[in-house]
Amino acid sequence: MKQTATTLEDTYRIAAELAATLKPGDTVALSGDLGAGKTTFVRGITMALHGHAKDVTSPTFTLMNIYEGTPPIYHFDWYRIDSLASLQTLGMEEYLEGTGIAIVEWGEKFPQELPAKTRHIRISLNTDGTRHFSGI
Amino acid sequence: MILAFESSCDETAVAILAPPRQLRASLVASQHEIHIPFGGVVPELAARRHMEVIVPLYQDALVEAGITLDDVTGIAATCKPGLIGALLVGLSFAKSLAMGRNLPFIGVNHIEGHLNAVHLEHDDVPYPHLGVVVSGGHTEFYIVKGFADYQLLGATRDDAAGEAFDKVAKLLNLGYPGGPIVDKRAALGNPKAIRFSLPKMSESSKFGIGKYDVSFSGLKTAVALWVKQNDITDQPLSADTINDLVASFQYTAVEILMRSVSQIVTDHNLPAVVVSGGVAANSALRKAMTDWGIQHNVRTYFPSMKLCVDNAAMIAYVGSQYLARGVTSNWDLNATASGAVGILT
Repeated sequence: MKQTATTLEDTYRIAAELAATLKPGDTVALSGDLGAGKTTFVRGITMALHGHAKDVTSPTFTLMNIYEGTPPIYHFDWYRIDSLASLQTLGMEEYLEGTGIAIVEWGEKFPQELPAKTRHIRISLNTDGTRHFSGI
Repeated sequence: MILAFESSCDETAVAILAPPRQLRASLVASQHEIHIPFGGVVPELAARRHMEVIVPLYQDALVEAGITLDDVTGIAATCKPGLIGALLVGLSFAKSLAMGRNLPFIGVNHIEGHLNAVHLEHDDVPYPHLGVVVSGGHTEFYIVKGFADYQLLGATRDDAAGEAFDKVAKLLNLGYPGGPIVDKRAALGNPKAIRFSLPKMSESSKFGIGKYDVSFSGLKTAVALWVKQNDITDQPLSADTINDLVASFQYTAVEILMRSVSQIVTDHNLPAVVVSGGVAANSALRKAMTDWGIQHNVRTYFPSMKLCVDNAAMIAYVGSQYLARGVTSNWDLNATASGAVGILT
């Protein structure tokens, strides 16, 4: 299924719809080019689940952010990870399929490291500035 | 003599400081030739890399400073914020050394290190001042009222400034690290060639946006969109166009930072601004900040490059100041991933 967002509010609404179907232990993988809006989408999911998204920032540098709440959200970013060996030293298996929801940006780089039931969502930025969300 | 370790992210660093500000050694692993005993390929972003280099780097630091462990009177290490696995390497090594030698130990916040790096080169920085930390992982604004007295006023809501530079460089296939490359190409382009709008930041947003906060993801998307609309396959972007594009991007990124700086300095009537972190090396930011400072009678400080990037000298400085005040950490101090130094008000 495919959804289209024209405004930021549309993106947040699509994120909220997805958030309503997530339960602790779930993993969401987000793919899309630089600037597609992956972190913004995580902001929308966190807003829907926690009522605010004050702490949501890009985890590109930190590799992982934790947003405390019910359920906790583990926000990963594999953009900078260049090898499976690097990824495996991060200890992220502690966070997958646990008590929180894991969201992985650039998860498609190491699909074998994602749980089998991962929800894959692809975000694409169109030349007219709208975005397509597929896999919702 | 204070011995300090930094391993919060990608860099392993060791420094030796004769307080208050005489640096005897400041080594950063990526810029230093190290003989690693077991060799082989080490994952770039792994805690294991810190483990491989920390002992030889520490030994080289002692040699460079011309001292032995007997001359060390206190030990400091970064304990937050950062990657837990990476932080633990420096922190555990530092604690073990301190415990074994019966030396006072202090854990230091990485951001507090950046905010204080300037004092290693300047003894005339007035308080209170605005401390701006801009790097690949951080973009934060603090009022620094005195040593150990910080108030966080604003931060990025999405990408760090340095991350935006890196990603725009990646988007245009300009190479890595993006910061210096964009800086160089931008100097050849017209910063007014393409008009990118500044993000709208409203205080009352339910998304937790404060009035001094900044955002770079919208600008990054605007660049991506511009490329999509203008980079037609049979007609790739010319070098001149890319120069104009990155110049316009950089101009806007600097505007975003300067907007918060000027608002905070004006609202809080601050006499000085201290900029630190890797992005403090950006020539357009330096020029904009310096010109603005002259125009508004505000002093501006930029630590030298080696103190702007991640380093242990700044950790040594902060550690030495705490230890001089009799503050030490407990042996059970743990590494934590998050940890701002001030409270957002």
